[in-house]
Amino acid sequence: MPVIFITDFFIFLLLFVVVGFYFYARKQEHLSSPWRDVKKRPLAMSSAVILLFFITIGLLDSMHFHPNIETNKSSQKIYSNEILSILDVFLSDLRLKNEKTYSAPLASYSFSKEVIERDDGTQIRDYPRLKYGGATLENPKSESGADILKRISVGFLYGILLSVISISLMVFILSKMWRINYRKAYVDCMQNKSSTHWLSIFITTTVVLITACIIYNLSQNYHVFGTDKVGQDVLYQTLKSIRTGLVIGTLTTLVMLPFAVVMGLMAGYFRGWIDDVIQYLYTTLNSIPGVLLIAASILLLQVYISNHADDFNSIEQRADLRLLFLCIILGITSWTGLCRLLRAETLKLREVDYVHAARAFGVKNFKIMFKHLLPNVMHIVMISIVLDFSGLVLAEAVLSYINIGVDPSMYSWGNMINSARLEMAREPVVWWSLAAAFIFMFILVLAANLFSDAVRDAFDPRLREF
Amino acid sequence: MSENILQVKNLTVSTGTGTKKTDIVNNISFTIERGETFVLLGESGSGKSITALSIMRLLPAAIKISDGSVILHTTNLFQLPENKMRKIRGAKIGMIFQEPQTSLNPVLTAGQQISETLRQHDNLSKKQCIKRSIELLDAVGIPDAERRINEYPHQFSGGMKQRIMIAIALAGKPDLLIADEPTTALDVTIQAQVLNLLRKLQSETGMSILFITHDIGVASQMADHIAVMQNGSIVELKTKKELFSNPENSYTQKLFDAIPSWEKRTEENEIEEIERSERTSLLKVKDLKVYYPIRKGIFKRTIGHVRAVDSVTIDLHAGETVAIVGESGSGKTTMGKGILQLLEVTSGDITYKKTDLNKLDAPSLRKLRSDIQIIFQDPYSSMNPRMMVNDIIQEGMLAQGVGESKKERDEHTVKLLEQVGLLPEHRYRYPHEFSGGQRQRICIARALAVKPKLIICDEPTSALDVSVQAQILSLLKDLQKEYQLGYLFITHNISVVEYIAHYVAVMYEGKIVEQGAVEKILKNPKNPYTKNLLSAVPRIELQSNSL
Repeated sequence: MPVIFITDFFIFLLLFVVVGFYFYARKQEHLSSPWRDVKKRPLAMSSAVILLFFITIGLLDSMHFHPNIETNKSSQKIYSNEILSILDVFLSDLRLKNEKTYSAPLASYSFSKEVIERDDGTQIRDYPRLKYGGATLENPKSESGADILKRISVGFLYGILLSVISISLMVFILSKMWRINYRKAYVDCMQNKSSTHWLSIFITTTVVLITACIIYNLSQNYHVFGTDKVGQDVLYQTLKSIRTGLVIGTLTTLVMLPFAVVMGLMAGYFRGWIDDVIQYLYTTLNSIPGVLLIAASILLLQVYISNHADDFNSIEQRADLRLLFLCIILGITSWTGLCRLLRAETLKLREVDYVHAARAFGVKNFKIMFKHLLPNVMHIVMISIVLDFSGLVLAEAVLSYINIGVDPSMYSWGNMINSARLEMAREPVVWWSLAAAFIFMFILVLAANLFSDAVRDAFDPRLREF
Repeated sequence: MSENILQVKNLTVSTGTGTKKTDIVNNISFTIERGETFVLLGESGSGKSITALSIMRLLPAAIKISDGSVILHTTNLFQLPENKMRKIRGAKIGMIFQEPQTSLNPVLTAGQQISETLRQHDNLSKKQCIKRSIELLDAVGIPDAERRINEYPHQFSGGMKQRIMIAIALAGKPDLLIADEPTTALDVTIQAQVLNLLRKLQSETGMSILFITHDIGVASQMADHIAVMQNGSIVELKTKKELFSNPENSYTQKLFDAIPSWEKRTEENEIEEIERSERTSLLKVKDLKVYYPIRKGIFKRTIGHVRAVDSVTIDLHAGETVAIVGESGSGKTTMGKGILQLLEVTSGDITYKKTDLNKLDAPSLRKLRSDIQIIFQDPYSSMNPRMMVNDIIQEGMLAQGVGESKKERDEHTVKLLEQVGLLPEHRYRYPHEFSGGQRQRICIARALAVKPKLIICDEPTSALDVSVQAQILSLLKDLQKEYQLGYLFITHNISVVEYIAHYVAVMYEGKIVEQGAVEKILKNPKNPYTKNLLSAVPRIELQSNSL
């Protein structure tokens, strides 16, 4: 039985809008030609593949349902109370293989010593074997190195095989689309004769697939990124965190953007009392410490939830509402910066001749704002979306630290980093939670930055080369 | 026998490498003698400034000198190490730039900036420095130099700043002064003063001047020798007298022909003059005032007004051109925008065909906007860089409801583009893919799209080269004939007025000091300011009046 969370709804709405925009832009020459330019850039295409990989995981994790536990003969289905996502089903191996407590990446023994009872009844204090990590090995101390190496090479081979298959498939589809034979399509792609930089897409796909296969193959017998305090697989946690990161990064911007753009343009274009009101609004909002505002709103929400416990069926739904609320409140506190930038830029642009020309034609004010001013401040909007995206993912971590971030039951890089605060103080240090969160965040933010750099360059006519 | 100060031999400057290598300056040679003024004349992009910068070895990193030599007295400048070259700059060769606003450092006083050069080249004490700076400021004609030496650049006017630049350039007592379009950013009357000053200083110190300009009039006033440059090559190099009496190269001839003037106007067989009273009146401006309040104190009380436009009265009829002439800051543009209701008018009547624009409400004004259009000075900023030409031209049509269907509007756009001399396929390009002249044509097409009766032309040619200017002016003339357009032509260029205007109004500090038929005003000015303005215009002089 499917369950739709509010954030799921927004995510799919956003996806729908993006797809709709794609079909709209295809018909508009001035919108599609910059995108064609983006497609020619190798770095942009590599980042796009990586982003697509993250987005796919995020989307899979956004389709929730109550799993079906058993089916009676009277065809009456009984659903579990638990809510899972499609991703959870794919990762059920990782999800269910829980250890007792901490274990290092690829380890076969637990991280801390325990009292173990031997077969002969004597008790010793030693590192116990893990339940799942290296479970197939007789003598992990001597065998694990070879086993890991074997699994890596097998994974590598699978990766190569998989990428050859998927690339062949892509080329096959392309050859059908271009109506040329397979061989020619292949040569065209490899020599970059087509309008898209396919070579970089293929290389990145290969790298991603190989990495994924190696990790998958290792995870069959090991915890690739180790386990956390309660023995849960860190890889699973960080994969689940992707959705949280994407939601915070995109939905917050979605909330913030209309405020910032409309108010910024209006303040700059109309000046006078409209400018005064908007400036007053954002100076006031800016002078209230953001953390205070967020803490107050989150507490408000928690009180609401506990008073209306009946409205929420599950912990997951509660956590989801809190996530949405966090996005909204982050959006409300963070629009002022962009608004201010846009106001300043608009003040400059409204005196430019083409705006005067439009006014001389009797073009309506709002049309001038959205046709002349908005496209010319769009690069500022794009830059700040990207900077905010990484900033917001980090802000989430900071807020989790003072317990007003996402719900503690929700997987997020913020919560992982937050828990790593204590782990870092241990001796020997437990570094893998932090490292896993860091690596995934880093790849996501870097790919987003590189991609949007290319988009900005393509859309800014002043930077376009001919 | 005169002695050679500077010899440029086979200079070639290029950018890029390998197959992408292009020559910006192509194998040019010339010699400058002591005490003479050598003029490099050419349109934008012809390589004049690059030549000057290569002599100073101040080229940007992407541009390299690939061949040739520059010999100052007997030293080859290209073979000197950088530290020796630094001693040449300022001491042997001084340089002044086009834009005095940006060539001076805004946070240093005039005196500090002159002393900087002085101390670099002479071993002077602080006191001597100040004394010498005052002398220099005196020499370049800055009154009350002792007091003004401690003032900052923003306290000086544009002409004064250029004088300070000259003082800095002269501080090292150079043998050669390179002047890169030193008067282009200045008004004609100031330009005349600066040119006079340069001539005076030259006769006093005996230095040579390498003068770079695009203005043929200025060139004819200053030069002993003129080199005409086109696409990086010198196409003609002669003494001034020979060049103007007998231009041989086809490009030089074309350049001379392109100067708009009185003679050209009569050559083109003016349309038969209809009496002014018989034409339909388009625009009557009466007592137009645009004041800006000056506010001071914490309560922002208005303590006075800047009178940008002060009681201006103008009449304009269909099919005629009224030129508004004035120097920068005289309120010409403000008046144009005031008439268009693009900025708030303090008082006065603007009557367009019996409707007072000042008293209209927003919707009716919006309807009337198709009748009055504007063409701007800068073709680079007057079009939205993110819109295609097609959208730019159709914007006005959509707003004013010209053309029923998309097809009709498209056809109209194609017709307009052909009319202004562009191709239909140019519709799907962006503005930055066009040259300045082409952009100005697009702006004209855009204005024509809504079928206006009156066009306010705000210096439409001052950002363009002479040859392009001539094309745009004749295009405007043809369109006037065809549609009986009225032009309110704002300009500072007297020769353009001679060519295109029927009536002329001279503006000075927000007021119109004199107006009337163009022939009457230009040939027989009554007002002292008009006389002054007209006499300051550099004319081509065939008789050399060397000092």
